[in-house]
Amino acid sequence: MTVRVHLLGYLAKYSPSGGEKFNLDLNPESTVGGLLEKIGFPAELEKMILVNGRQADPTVRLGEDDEVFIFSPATGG
Amino acid sequence: MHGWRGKILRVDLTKGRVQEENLEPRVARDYIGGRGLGVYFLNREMDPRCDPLSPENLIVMATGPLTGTGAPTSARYMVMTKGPLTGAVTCSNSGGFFPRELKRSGFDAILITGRSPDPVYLWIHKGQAELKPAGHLWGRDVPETTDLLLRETDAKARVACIGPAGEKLVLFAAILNDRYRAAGRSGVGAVMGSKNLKAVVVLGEGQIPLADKDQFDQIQNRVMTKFREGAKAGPSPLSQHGTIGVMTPITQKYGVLPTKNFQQGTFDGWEAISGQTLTAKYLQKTVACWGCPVSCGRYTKITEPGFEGEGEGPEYETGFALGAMCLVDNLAAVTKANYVCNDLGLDTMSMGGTIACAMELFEKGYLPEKDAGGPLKWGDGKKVVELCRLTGYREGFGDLLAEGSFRLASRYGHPELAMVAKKLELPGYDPRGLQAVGLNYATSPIGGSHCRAHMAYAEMVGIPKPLDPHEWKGKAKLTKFWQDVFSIIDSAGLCLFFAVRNLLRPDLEIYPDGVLEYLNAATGAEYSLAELMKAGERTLNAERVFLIRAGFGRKDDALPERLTGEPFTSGPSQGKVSHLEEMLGEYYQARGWNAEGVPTEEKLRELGLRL
Repeated sequence: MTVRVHLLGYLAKYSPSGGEKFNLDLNPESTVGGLLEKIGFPAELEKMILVNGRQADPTVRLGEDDEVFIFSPATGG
Repeated sequence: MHGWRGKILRVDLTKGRVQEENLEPRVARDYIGGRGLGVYFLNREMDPRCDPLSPENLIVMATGPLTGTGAPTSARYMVMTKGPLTGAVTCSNSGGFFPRELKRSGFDAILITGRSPDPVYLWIHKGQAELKPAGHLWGRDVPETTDLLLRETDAKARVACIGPAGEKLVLFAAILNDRYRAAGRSGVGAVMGSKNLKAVVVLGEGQIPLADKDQFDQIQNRVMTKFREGAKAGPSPLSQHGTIGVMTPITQKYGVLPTKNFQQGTFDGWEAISGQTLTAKYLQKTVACWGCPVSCGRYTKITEPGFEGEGEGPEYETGFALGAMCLVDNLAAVTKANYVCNDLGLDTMSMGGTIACAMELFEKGYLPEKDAGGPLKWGDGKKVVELCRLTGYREGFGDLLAEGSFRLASRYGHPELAMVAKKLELPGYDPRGLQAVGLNYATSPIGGSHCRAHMAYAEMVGIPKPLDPHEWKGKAKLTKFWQDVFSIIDSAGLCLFFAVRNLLRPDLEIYPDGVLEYLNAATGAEYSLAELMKAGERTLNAERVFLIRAGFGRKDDALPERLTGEPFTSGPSQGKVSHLEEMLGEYYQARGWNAEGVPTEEKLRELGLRL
């Protein structure tokens, strides 16, 4: 299945394409945690994750065409 | 005194008299400074029922004990008065360089009353104050006024002034300092205009005396080392793309970006007006207030025909109000409209909200085209720029827009289309998808403001911890707690941005441990945490006392019907409305107020207040 991913700001360094937004192919029934692992997003990095506009944690299961938005809540000011 | 300067300056414009007076140490301690000190003087020295544009209204410009000390973001001052847009107390806060200079000039606060027969400005230098003629400045915009004043006083001085909007009594006129920083909300600029006071110019000297400099430096080193460590993960998003870069994508993704006068919670053109686009197309440099490690300010330049100009902005709130609210996806137009508001001295938030309201009135056929001076079409960026200019000068349709959205919508028989709380245009976070945000808009002493407790930090950004935005249960107590803490930050003289992330306990109960440390090192007051929390609560209750005396009550702790009765029809918050009524009773209880929202005798006694 394909999900749409949006990494805000400097988090784009974990994007396979280098851009803030990209599509990612995942095995069916993958979770948010699986997605983070696949793009090499460090587990300890502070983050907020939204799936289709709802707060989500790494255990949340993803579906076809879901939008995953990840941003850093607290870096700097 | 340390931290505090121990002096206030009284200005009676009717008599043309300036006079200094000592600040009572007990008052300083109980009210901290800034916002707390402001409401203390308003309650003591004016009738809250007065006409806000009459000579009886009092303006307090107050710094906090940390202002200018070098504590991170200690660049703030507060303008407190009775706001002509709202009839409520104001808390118009600004940063830049003027507030530190005011503090260095030797005064904690300036109290201005009366009305000068002719235009004047106040010139404070090295502890002396005098009123000088300002007839030659009247009618001039903010940059011209600033340049002329620096030429005739001192190039190193700092200027806070009004533009034509304040002179013409636009009900949401701002006071601009250092050209681009605004004490923006509630119409504080119109109060200055009504008093024939064009500007306050200050030149100070020396450092702010600290009670324990070694201790202060130790705290500073620790806080800044931690801040820099955190920034190693990547550049601060606020510094990189400004507030408009951080907030626009986040409100859009949650479906709470108020669009088309709060008819929608998402905006198809959001990327075109985001900070990332601003950085790529128009950003010249980032800008920081004095003593700020964040630098969220944007200096921008537009060369596109029809929108040429340069200056600071836009912030997120400006982008939402002049952009998404009016369906404008042209960032050049939004930025130009921001420049016009800065130059003429207008609050961009109320300006955008009022134009959006006019566009909806027009769309629904309630506002005739002849009154509007032509068609008002959603998304017409050129029109938005023009309307800002007309409003600043009260020309044509601008004369009606100058009254704000509530009076405009009421004039055409549809007050329900004004997206306001206590007649103050709402900020850029739709309360249908953020329950505590809505409760704070309704109960904030100044009306629709996010700055009196920015509940979106927790509900949306996850600071200090994520909170379910759609749940309303349990939010009342937390909102009360956050409001008390934000009043401490406001009173201390700090900016909310740094404090929220670095000086509060990283728990949903955001005890202000870091602010307490800084305050004690600066003042030597030896506040306990409990005493400081009580001071924050005292300020909120003193503001409530002002409101009750002015005739406000439960009926005014309200949101527009659209937000409590019309669910979103699409997006992540689909089907949601604000559960304000359910939260309000619980909130009053947490505050120790009765069912009508009036502080109980017991609560007043506990805080040393009287109704």
